[in-house]
Amino acid sequence: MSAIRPRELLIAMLTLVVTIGLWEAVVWAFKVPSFLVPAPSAVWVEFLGKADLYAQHTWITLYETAIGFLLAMVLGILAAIAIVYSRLLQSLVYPVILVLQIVPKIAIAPLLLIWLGYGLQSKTTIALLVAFFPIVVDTATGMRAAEPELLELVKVLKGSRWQEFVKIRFPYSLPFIFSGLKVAITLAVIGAIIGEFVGGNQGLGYLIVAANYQLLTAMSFAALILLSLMGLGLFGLIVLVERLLVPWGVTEGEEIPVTL
Amino acid sequence: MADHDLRRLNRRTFLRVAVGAGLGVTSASLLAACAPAAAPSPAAPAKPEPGTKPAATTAPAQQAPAQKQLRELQFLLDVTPYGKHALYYAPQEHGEFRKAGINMKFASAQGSADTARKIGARAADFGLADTGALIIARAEGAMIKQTFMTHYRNLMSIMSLKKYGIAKPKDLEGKTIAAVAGDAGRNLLPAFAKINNFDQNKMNIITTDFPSKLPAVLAGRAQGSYEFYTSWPTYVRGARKQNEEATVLLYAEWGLDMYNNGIVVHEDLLKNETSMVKEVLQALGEGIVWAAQNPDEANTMTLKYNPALDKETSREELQIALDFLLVDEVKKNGVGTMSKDKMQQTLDLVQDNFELKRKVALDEIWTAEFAPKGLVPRA
Repeated sequence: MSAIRPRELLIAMLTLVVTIGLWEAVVWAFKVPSFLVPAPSAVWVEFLGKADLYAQHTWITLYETAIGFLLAMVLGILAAIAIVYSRLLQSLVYPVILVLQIVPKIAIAPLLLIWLGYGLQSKTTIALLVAFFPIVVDTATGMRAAEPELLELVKVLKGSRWQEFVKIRFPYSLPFIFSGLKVAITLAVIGAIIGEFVGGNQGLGYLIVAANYQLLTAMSFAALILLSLMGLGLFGLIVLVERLLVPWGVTEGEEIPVTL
Repeated sequence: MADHDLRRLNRRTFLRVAVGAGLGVTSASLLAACAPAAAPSPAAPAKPEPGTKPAATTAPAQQAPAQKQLRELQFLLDVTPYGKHALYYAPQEHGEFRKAGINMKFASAQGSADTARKIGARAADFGLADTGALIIARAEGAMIKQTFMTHYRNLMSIMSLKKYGIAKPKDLEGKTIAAVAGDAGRNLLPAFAKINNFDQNKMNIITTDFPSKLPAVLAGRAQGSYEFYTSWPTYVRGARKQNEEATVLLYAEWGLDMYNNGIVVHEDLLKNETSMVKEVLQALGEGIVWAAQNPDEANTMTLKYNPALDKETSREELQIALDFLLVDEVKKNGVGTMSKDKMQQTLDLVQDNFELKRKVALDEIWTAEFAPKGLVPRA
């Protein structure tokens, strides 16, 4: 694997340093009150002063996101297999999945919390619901993208459906699955945050809401930055796993995940 | 293309995403930072919104003072409007603001903290906010003051259902209570527990959003919820639909009284537009006096702005707001006036129960200079 070019790294670091410097300067020059926009230095001080608190809440959000994402991955791939291999299941499952995707999760989140309680289950369920759709769609598309000649070959050689799946359809769909997973992981973070916004006493989403009510804008920013870093880290992790497992399928331009 | 080239491209793309996200956060912050400076100054005459008639042409000509152009001002309600807000619609609809040359536009904030933040940023001219939220905002640098009181008694309460057996504060021990983050009653729980001699650590408080509190109680996820007492009519009806009876512990009746909501104004406006602020508050006071004497009619004004509200519920909510307005202090000194002693008591309660960024002085949070004097509704 090639290393990141030093020049690229330098440009990236410089851009970040300049923008943070500019942010600090604007806040200082215009004497912007901290309850509106805190200076980066104030956010840093806030973070250092309560590092344990941030670590604890970050861990909770990460945990909810990971569980929701993993469930979405397993169920999404299984649903895609069902859709591809059974016309009956396709006509039964697909409309339900579509409706689930269309329903705004922010609208049903309060109900989910009342049904499932204010703990982990409701947050992971929302993360699952939000992350599920792109995995199903991309996996199903990938499985259908297998070359017809190869599928014909399996038939000619009297291969079983299992062999067709393991040797042709699944390997063909892997790049598509990872494409869906990359979108899904960022959505899972948002799903967990939606749950935390609506109810509960833990997680970065809760911290942002609590901070907003007390005008602790530096705390709100610190949690937002941690959230962004967490999302980027998870996205990077999926990219890394993709490179290790599907080196042939890595495309030139990564799609930028859409948000809700 | 060689495999390693592809990998490098992807890594580069990821790097771009990372830098882009950083830029995004920073740009958003800078835009927000510039917002207060870019926001239209309340001192400047407001331009009519695109697609709307100029304010002057919307007022009945015979009532407009000598065809004078009405000045448009922004009033920020604390939350999504309900019955209690008739007090603020009345001077606009009954004509007191118009006589003062003002066309008041109403918008809603998401709670008192949000109102305090927006008035602090001069995003609106007048705001309805809880004094506790104002004190917290003041400690964080929002240069705002309470100028006119409307909720004279403490409306904070814990509502529940009769079956959960919360008849006195001590009964809260062992119970789960739903609250929104930053709820004023929740934040003052240590003081409430101390006054009423119960152990607040034996309570479990779950954070939820505003509309989920009553459903959470009805579904048994919590045995009670923090509410402003003006929500009582809605709570009673919600419980009744499930054949339940609602109960309430009102902080003010259990020893914890303080000033709640009033009209907060930015110091710049108080300093630069003293006469305008006085005229608006005079008109507001006159309108509130009229609403207190004509509550049914005032209620129809709330419904005009918010047709989805239930008329009876809205009227009951207004009555509670009036009951908490027409206290002895108001009967003696007039609507809007405040006493130094009670404001000090309010400040002490907040400072004793919050970790404020700095100590806030009494004269920072209120002024008696602007509220009208002697506006007492007829019995």
